[in-house]
Amino acid sequence: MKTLTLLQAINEALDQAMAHDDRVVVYGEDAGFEGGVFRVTAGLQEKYGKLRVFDTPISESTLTGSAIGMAINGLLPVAEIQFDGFIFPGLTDLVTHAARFRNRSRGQYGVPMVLRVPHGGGIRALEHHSESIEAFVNAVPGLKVVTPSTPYDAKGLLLAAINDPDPVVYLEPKKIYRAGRQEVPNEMYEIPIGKANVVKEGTDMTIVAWGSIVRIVLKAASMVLEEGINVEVIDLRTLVPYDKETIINSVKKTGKFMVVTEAVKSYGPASELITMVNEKAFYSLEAAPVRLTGFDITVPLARGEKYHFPSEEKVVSYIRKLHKEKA
Amino acid sequence: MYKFKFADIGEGIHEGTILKWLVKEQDIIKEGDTLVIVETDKVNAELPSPVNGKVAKIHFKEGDDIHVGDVIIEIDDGKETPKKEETPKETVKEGSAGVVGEIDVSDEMIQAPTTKASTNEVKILASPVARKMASDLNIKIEDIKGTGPLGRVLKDDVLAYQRPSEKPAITNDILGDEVIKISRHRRAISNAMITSKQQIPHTVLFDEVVVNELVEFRNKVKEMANQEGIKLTYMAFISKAVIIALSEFRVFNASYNEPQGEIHLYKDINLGIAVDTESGLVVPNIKNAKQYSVFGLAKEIDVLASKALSKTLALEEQQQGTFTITNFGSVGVPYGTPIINYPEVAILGIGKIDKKPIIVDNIIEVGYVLPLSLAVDHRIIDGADAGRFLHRLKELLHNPTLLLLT
Repeated sequence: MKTLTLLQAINEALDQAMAHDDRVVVYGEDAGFEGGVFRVTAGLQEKYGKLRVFDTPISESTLTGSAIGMAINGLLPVAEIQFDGFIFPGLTDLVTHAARFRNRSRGQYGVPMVLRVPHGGGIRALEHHSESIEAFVNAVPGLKVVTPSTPYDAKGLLLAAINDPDPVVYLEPKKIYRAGRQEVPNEMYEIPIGKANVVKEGTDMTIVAWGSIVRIVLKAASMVLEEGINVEVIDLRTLVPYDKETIINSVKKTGKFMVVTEAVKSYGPASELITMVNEKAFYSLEAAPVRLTGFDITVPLARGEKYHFPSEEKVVSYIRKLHKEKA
Repeated sequence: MYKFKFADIGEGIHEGTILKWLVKEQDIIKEGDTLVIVETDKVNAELPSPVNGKVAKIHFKEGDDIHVGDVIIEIDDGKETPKKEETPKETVKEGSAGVVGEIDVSDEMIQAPTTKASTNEVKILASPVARKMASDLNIKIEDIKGTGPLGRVLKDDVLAYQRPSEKPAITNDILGDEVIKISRHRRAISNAMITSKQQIPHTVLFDEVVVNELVEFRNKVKEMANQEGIKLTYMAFISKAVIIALSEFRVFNASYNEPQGEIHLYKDINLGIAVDTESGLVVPNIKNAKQYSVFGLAKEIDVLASKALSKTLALEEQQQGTFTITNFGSVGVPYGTPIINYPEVAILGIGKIDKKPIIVDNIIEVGYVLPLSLAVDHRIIDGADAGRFLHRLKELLHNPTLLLLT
């Protein structure tokens, strides 16, 4: 089996989806001729032509709005927002129409579009290029939100998103686009939307993470294992609708819960997960749940970002502290 | 006659002002003709006539305020006014009343903000699991002393608090923690002990008595008793001594009705003997014990003890006791602070008869010593009384021939 980077796995998913189904179109700012600023869509225009793979003006509202129009009229658009921090002009159509079309038509029609968003920080970039937008999209009923942490998941989740009858926001952990390779099957396959993945079993505490943070947590978990602390790590994979059952079962087993995310702390995605655990597994909790997040600030520029994002060292120290808590 | 009401024109509008009448009384009008222009917060609305007819009466002048439901004009449409106005059927409408929806309107007074005095009540600190554990064990978390940070109650504290309530089986196996449901009998003992300790202010006196002669005498007659099928224990002698003393100090053979301020002195002595059984303590009593000789008492005690051990005691054999003797000497203990068998007023604990150094004529000799522990209800028996009672007991036990004289 061949090995691919996460970026190549996304490219392969797009390639196979386009080959498999004429309705799939891929576009975005620089997504056509250039093959994307990160080269995710490289080679696709040459292969499928300018009608199916093309560039758009620098107008995110046009991007999301036109995707809705195409989707309603029978295409399967996969549009790309160039950077997470550029999504805001595009939210209008995404929130007010794409997300609501199913409800507005009383269940009859969906908007089968995918919005790909290179996502998250840690790449020493400019402003608007390193943001965590989970809370903006997660809170919109009618949107599904997924994010892979491995090449294998990247391909399977994207194919599931393209086949989904409703709008899916596909967050791409850009920091790890090219960080490591994994064996990826040649055939098309789907990772079911809504299912989390227990990537490491453990007994002492449960940590939930997603995207590029998963591997940081896994490294921290292997470091503390030598100290006798056995952490269970769950890759959420789907942020909306998320897999409550897997989290609850894990917390009931371990009694301790931590969420690690680079998003903000207050009103961020960790808050929802912890609240849900408090509601559903309260009497199994041996300590107060813990959030390890970015600070409540605009994402710092290159020099400051290492202080902002959860690092292996920070995760290790948070694990040690939570492990010491006696019930 | 058609009574035209200012209807809810939507937009959350509940009142308006007559801006201009386009008809006057006696005008002949057709359905659809505009009657009036009404100004509201949002729009100027032209209201059309819903019927053909003649304007009979106009109720409001231009500039008047009108409210939803007001009849503003009456039109003679040739039909009779229904005697009773039909109550409009309530219809459930899907959809909102307009772009602003329906805003709640009310004159309800909203309380001014007040500053609340903060209270310093401290809740018990405990993790959810510790709380769950306590709740599962029927333990109030408030009763547990926490040893965690800030006095937090930990799981370990809950486990430590939980005491096995039944005599724990002594085994060599090291088992995990257990929760044992207490038996009815243990519950009865528990309740009796609580009642006694809560009601009776106990005071306890200790003394010891040299019983060389008693030991000698018992050894002499033991064989004789055996031949008559009697197991002659020290308990029989001690019982006899107690019976004699109780006859002389009647307040020890009594009960106390505290609310009434009355002491009930009993005629009969129903002497209770505490018996250690597998399922816990039982206290049968010898009814009218005064009638028995030492041999007779030995026989009675033996019968009751056997019944207690075989759990065949009748209820009445355990009721109406007036004084109790408890023997912790049988487990090798010299002294204790026995708990009075409520509503009795005193209890005698007897320890193990042991060889000890005693002083006889300024010389240390070895003698047999019986330790005594006497608990009394201090509400009605003073320490001095208890001392005199104990002294009399010692006298009787020291000189066993005295026991045979009565």
